[in-house]
Amino acid sequence: MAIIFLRTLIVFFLIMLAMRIMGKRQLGELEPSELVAAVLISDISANPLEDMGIPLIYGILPALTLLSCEVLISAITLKSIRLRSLLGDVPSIVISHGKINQKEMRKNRFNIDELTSELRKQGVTDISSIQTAVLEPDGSISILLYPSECPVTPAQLNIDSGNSSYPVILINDGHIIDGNLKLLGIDRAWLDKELKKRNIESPEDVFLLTSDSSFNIYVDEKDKT
Amino acid sequence: MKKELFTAFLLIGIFAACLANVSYIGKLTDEINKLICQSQELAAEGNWQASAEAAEEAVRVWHEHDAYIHIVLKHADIDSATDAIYDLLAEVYSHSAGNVDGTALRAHYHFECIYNMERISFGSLF
Repeated sequence: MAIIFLRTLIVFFLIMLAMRIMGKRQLGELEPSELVAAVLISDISANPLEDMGIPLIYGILPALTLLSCEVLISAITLKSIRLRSLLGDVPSIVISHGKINQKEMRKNRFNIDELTSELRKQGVTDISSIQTAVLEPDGSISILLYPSECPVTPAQLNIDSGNSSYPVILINDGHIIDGNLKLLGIDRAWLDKELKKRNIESPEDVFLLTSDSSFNIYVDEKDKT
Repeated sequence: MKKELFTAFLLIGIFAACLANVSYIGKLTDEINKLICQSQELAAEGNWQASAEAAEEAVRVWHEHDAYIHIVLKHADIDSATDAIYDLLAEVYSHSAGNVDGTALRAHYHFECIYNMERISFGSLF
């Protein structure tokens, strides 16, 4: 039993390391080589856990080999457009000037239901309003609408939209994130002052506090229960 | 680039370790097979004492590598080979001249199989 426990720990940390080295992508955004490596690594590594008669090295060695191959293929495809194209890592234009490119759809085995579903997810129902739709290597679709169909922007209407920036978390579940305070050029004294203004006694009472560079603050206090 | 270089060296290292393992297993099974053959020949000559010594030496060599073989070989294969070699020893101890040849052949076959599974060949690849 102890061996199963230790083997499981070793395999878990090995797969975690492999995924970390492979990069911070979500499972649905994996490229073909990453998907193959991820599926095979998880399957092969499980064998020595299921069968105690199989040495652990039979799981570790293929996992390391797959990981190395994946990292090397990613590096080579960065440099070689030809190999990228060969591995299917190139985007395909599936709608051009409001017309579906059926040849590309067939080539990518992408059916009309999948296409319309992806378009709906992005709030587009009228294919004729699309100038270009690109099927990305990770299976998602990027859409470029005709300029006449694009939503208007504050700049087009000459409206001052202010100068806000991306809000950063300053207090996360009662913990002050000092690095983000530094990023905004503020200190704990400033934070305490802002909390006092909102009748909050301590940062520990805050569930989430964010601020952008214009100091627009969002505060969510912890539930009292 | 460091990550790519590391993985390239890791890949080369793994392959080199695999080749070293094939060579090591080859030498080990070869040594044991020679002792099995020696034991078989001595038994055929009726020299049971020397035959037992050769078979015991084969058992000793096999067990000497216990830690290594349990890391690189499937435990079921190790168990079959160990059984075969002990069967030979039992036949030699009981002076069963008619059975030694058969058990020696079986033991020889087991160790041959272990090496064949490890070495790089068309058959073992596919």
